[in-house]
Amino acid sequence: MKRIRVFLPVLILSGCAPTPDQSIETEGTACLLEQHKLPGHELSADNNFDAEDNLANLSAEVPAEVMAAEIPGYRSHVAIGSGKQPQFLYLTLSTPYEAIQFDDAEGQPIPEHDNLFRIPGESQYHWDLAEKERGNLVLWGACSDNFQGSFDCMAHLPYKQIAINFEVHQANLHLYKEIEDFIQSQMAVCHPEL
Amino acid sequence: MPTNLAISSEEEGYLANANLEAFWFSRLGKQDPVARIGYALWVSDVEKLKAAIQAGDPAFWNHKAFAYWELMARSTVVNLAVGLERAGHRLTFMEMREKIREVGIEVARRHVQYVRHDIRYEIGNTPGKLSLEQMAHYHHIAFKKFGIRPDYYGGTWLGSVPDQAEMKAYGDLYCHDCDSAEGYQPEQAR
Repeated sequence: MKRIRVFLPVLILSGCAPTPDQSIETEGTACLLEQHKLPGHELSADNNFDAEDNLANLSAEVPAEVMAAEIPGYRSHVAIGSGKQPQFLYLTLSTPYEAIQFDDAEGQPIPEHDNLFRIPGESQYHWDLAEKERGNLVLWGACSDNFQGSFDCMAHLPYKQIAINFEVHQANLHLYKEIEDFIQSQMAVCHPEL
Repeated sequence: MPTNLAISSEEEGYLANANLEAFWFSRLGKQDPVARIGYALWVSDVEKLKAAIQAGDPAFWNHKAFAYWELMARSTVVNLAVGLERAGHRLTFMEMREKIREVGIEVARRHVQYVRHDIRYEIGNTPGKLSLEQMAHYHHIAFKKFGIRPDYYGGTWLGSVPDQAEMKAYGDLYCHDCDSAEGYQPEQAR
């Protein structure tokens, strides 16, 4: 595994970014991230927790039904355990992380997408997924077993000077590129200042 | 020397076997702050919780006594039960217990994800120690998977503490023979 350190400025989105105009539309695309922005929450002091994280003060939750309407083939609900769980898109913004590259020999093809490769680790319940990018295997996300017969992955998508963190269930992994395109187009509409 | 907060293979095994008590007890031993409420929620005998608090560092327990953590655990269960009901789950008492357990496993699983993420990317001051914001995020995701609104997250640091009627109605889901919260000052929970 190789880490590539890239210099990227730390962005504090809250406070310096203009409030996105809800009426903004680019080529007919509504700003869904603003419509489904999550309210901030009050956090009481507790010194036992880490005081710092790299999260920007913005998170959004695009409902599962909206995702299914936006991306053909997207499964809005997946049977897990004793019920069906909604596959909403929960987004957080953060500073970007170092890109991590893997040797080709480390990657194992997965049935969900021919551009994603499993990187086995020490744990049988947790592994990385790498994306083939210009001939290189680059870390795309970290996946974990849900102990119910499927898995989901936390992905990290660099976008200009920031990064977007989101999650994809196995059942929608074949659409990961479409999900990324959706997120990027939403960022362009909602945060043109970036 | 800072505690190693990395997720161990034993902890993964506990989670794979749905043994939430063992999982959170192990995390407690590493002084993972989320484990205080995690263990309080899933401990099979409140005497164990009492013993853990008495043997622990008062600063780690935020200088709060057993009654506080026990009440926080119970109020969390009540929040979950009310949240599940309002999400449309019509369940018997036993089914509700099982559903709350499913939520607990999902929360613990996401805790593992976030701790790993925190360590890999060296987020914050201490590898593996989450911020309140990180913790809020994964609780929101886990709760929403079961239809529970984000504002139901809490009973501890966030959201509303259930009223007495709700506590009476649902408190038994957590513990039928728990000690009373006598001596607990409600304003401590704010």
